[in-house]
Amino acid sequence: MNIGIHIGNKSMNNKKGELPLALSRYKDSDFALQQRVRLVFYFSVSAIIGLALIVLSTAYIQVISSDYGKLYLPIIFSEFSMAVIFIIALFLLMRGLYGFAVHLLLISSLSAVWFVMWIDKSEVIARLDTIVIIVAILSMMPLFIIKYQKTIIAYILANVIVLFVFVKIFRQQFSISNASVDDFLVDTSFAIIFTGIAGYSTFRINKKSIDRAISDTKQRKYVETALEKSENNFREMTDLLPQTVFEADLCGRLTYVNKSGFEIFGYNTDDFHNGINIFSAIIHEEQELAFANMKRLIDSETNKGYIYTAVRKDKTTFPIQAYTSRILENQKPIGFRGIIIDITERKNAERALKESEFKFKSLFEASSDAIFIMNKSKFLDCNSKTSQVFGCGSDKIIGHSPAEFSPKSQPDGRESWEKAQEMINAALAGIPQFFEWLYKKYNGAEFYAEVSLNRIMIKGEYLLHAIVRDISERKKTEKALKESEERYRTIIDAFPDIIMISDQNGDIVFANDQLGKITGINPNDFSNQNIAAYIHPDDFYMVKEAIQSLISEDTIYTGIIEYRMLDSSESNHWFSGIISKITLNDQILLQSILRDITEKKSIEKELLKHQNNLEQLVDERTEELKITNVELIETNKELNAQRLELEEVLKNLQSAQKQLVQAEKMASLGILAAGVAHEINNPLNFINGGIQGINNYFIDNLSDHLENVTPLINAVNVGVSRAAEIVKSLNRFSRQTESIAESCDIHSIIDNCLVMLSIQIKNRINVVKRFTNDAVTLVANEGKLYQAILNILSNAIQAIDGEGSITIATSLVENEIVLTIADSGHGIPKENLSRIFDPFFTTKEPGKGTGLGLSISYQIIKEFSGAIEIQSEVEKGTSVIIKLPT
Amino acid sequence: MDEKKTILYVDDEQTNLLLFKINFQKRYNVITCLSGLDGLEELRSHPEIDIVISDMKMPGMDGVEFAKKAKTEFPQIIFYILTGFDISPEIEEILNTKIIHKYYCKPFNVNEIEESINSVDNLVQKKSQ
Repeated sequence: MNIGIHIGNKSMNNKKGELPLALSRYKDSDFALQQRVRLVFYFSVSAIIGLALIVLSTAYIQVISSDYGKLYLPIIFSEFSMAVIFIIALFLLMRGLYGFAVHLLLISSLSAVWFVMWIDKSEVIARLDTIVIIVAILSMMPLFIIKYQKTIIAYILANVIVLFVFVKIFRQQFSISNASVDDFLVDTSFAIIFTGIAGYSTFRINKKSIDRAISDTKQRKYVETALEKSENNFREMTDLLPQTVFEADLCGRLTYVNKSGFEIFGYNTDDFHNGINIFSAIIHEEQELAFANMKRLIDSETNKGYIYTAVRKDKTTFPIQAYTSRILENQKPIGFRGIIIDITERKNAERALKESEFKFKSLFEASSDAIFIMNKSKFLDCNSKTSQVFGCGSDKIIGHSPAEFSPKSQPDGRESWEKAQEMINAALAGIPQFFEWLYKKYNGAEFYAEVSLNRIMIKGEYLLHAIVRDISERKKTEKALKESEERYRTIIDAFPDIIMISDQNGDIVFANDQLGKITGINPNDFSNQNIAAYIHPDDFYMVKEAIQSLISEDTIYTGIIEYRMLDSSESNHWFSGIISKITLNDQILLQSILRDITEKKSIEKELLKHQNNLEQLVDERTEELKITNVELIETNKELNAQRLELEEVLKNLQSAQKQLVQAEKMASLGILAAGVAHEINNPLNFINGGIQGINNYFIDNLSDHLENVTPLINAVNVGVSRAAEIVKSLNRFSRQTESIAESCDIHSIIDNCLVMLSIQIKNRINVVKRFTNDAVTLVANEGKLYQAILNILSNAIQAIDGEGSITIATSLVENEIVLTIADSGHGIPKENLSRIFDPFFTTKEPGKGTGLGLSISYQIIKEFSGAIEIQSEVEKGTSVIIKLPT
Repeated sequence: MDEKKTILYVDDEQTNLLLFKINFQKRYNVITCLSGLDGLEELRSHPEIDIVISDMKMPGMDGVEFAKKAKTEFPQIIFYILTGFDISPEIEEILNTKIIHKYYCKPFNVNEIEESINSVDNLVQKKSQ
C-alpha cells in the first residue's frame, strides 16, 4: 500500500519517440538507434515504393522507347531484385535485426551499382560515372552504422578494390590514356577514400556526440533514479519511524503523512484525500495556542518542540510533542513539516518517576527504622523516624556528629568514638557494615540498635547510608525466647517418650535424648539419619501412607499409629505415636512423638494367646449352652402352656368350688326346708283331717248347727291351706332333682317366690304384677327356675332402700316368654354393669352377699336356652329382662 | 259295684290313721297300720285290699320300699304315696316304673283322693272287661 503520497506527483509516462508500431521491438533501445531504425524503416518503405514505381516506369519506358521497343528484362529484373532485397531488409529490421538489415542494404546497393556497371553496355567511362552513386551510398554509411568504425573502412577498401579490379578488367575498353586511367583511379580512389574519411569522421563525431548525449542522458537518468531511490528511502524511513511525520500547507491541510501518522491518529487514506487539517488533531482547547505557535514558526524559523494534547479520529486523546519547521520555496514559506512524538509513555514514565520518588520518599519517611545519610563526621539528612529514635528534632541531628548519640563506650568495652570510626572507614571503603550498637538518646537514655552502614555516591561524593533499628524489644524477646527454648529443651530432654522432627524424606532434623537411649541411634548423628531405614520393613508402608495422607490432607496430625523400629542392634522396638505436621522456616516437617510400647506389646501378645484360648473355650461352652438353652426354651414353652392350662383349671375349680359351696348351702337349706315342711305338714294334716271330720260330723248329726259352724270351719280350712301353701313353696324351692323336667308355670313360680319374700316386701314395696293372659309355661326344672327368679327378685328388693316399687311383667313373644322385673332401686353404676354376672362379684359388705346370686341365675337361664339382660340407671332403677323359650 | 273298696292306709302317726279312717270310712273299708311291715302283714291277711295309701317317711321301712315290696307281692293293688315332703327322686322313680299310681301331698285333700281312686277304678274295670 502506498501510504506516503506526494501531492502533485509528476506523471512519469512521457511520450517516447513516435516509433511505428512495426518497430515496437526497438522500444527500449537507445534513442540514436531508434532514430536510425526509423530512418532505415522509412527509407526501406520509400525505396520499396520507389522501386515499384521505377519497375513500372522502366517497363513502360522500355515498351514505348524506341531504343528497346519491348521489355528489357535484365534491368527490370535487377530493379525488381532491389525491391525484394529492400523487403527482406525491412523484414529483418522488423525482426529486430537492424545490423543485418543495414548491411544487407548497403552491400546489395553497392553490389547492384557495381553489377549494373559491370553488365551495362554503355561506355565504360560513362559507367564509371556511376562511381558517384557509390560515393553517395558510401557517404550515407554513417547514417546507418552504429558500431565498428572499421566496418566503414572495410566498405571503403572493398569499393576501392572493386574499382581497381573493374578498371583493370575494362582497361582496354577505355579510350583514354593510361595516365588518365591512373589519374582517374587516383581521383576516384581519393574520392572514395575522402568520402570514407568524411564518413568515418562524421560517424566518429556523430557517435561521440551521441555517446556524449547518451552518457548525459544516462547520468541524468541515474541521478533521477538515485533521487527517486533516495526519496523512496526517505519515505520508507519516515514510514518506519514510530513517530508521525507530516507536511502541511499554510492553511494546515496535510499534504503528507507517514504510515505511523495514520496508525497513531487512526485515519485512513480516504480521510486523507478528503482533507485533514493538522489542527483538528489537537484538542479544541489547545488549537489557539497551536495557531499562535505555527504563526511564529512561519514568521521566523525557530524549531521548538511544543507539547499538545492530540485527539485521534475516535476522539481519544494522548499527549504529544510536535517539532515543526517551515517549508520554503523560492525563499517563501509555502507550508510546514514536522514530527509528532507520542509522549504518553514519557508522560507515564515521568508520572511513574514522580510516584516512584514519592514512594521512595514515603518509604524513607515511613520506614520503621531510622534512616540517615552521613559523611565521615556528621549527619547530613535523616528521616522522621530518626528524630523519634533519638528523641529530638532533626535540627538537633543534622549537622551534628554521631558521637553525640553514643555513650562513651560500647558493651564490649571499646571506646564508642574509636569503634565508630573503624566502622565508618570500613563502610566508606566499600565494605557494607552490619553491627549492633549501643546508642544514647538525646535525653541520655541508652538503647540497643542494629545498624547497617552502606556506602552510596551522591554527586560524586562517597557518603554513608545508615539504617538504625531499635532492637531493645527484640533483645528482650530474644532473651525470653532463649529462656523459653531452654525450658522446653529441658522438658523435651526429660520427656520419657521420643520426640523428633524429620523432614518429608524421613531425615531426622531433631530428636531428644530418648531416641538414642531407646533405639541406640546416636542423637549426635541424627542430622543425616534416615528414620525410614529404622522402621521395620513390615510397617514401613503403613507409616509412609500415614505420612503421605498427613501431608496431602488438611489434617494436622495422624491418629495414633503403632509400628516397629529396629534399633542399632537390629532388635525390635514397638512404638505408639502421633505424627504431626509443623511448619518451620516455610518447610513442612513431621514431628513424631513416640512411646516405647515394646513391653506392653509382649504382654498384649501373651494376653492375646490367653484370650484366644479363652475364646475357644467360651465358644465351646456357648455352643453347649445354646443347645441347652434351646431345650430349656422348649421346656419353658411347654411349662408355660401347662401353667396356663392349670391356671384355667384352677380358675374353673375355684368357680366350681364356690358354686359347690353355694349349692351345698342351698341343698342344706332345701333339706332343712323339706324337713320343716314335713314336720309342719303332719300337724296341718291333723288340722285338716280333723276339721274335715268335724265338718262331716255336723253335716251328719248336727245339721241345725251347721249354719253357725260352717264359717268357723271355713276359717280353719283357709288357715290350713295358707300354711300348706307356704310349706309347699318351701318344698318347691328345695327341689334339687336335676333330671326332672316338668311343666313349670312362670306365673305360679313368681307368686311362690313373692310368698317366700313377703316378709321383706310387706309394707315397704309395692309389687305391681302385669301378667299376660296367655299361659306362660315351659318344660324345665322348676326348682332351678325358682332359684333363678328368687335371686333376681331378692336383688330387686335389696336394691330398694326404704319404700319403692317392683313391676313384674310377663308376655309371650314368638314362643318366647319375656319376663321383666323392674325395680325403682338405686341402680348399678356403668362400670359394674359388665361384671354383674361374674361369679363372686358383689358390691355388698363382706358376709352379706356371696356374689353368686346373679351368676347362678345366669347359668340357670342359659341352661334353659334363655337369655338374661340387664338395663340399669343409677338412682332410677334396674330392669332385668329374662327371655325363655317355651 | 255295690261293695265298698278296701283301702290300706299306712302312716306312723296314729292321729293321721284316725283322721283318715273317720274321713274315708263312709265310702271305703279302711284298714290302717303304723308301719310298712305291718302293712305287708295286713295285705297278706286281707286279700280284698284294692288300694294302698302309704306315708313316705316312716321308721323301719319307708313308703317307697314298702311300695316296691307290696307291689312285688301283690301286683294287682293300686298304690299311692301320701307324703309330707314334695316329690323326691325315689318317688319319681317308682312313679315312672308304675309301682305307684300317683302321689299326694299332705295335708290330704279328701276329694282329690276320692276322684283319683274313682278314675283308677274305672280304668281297672275297663281293663278287666
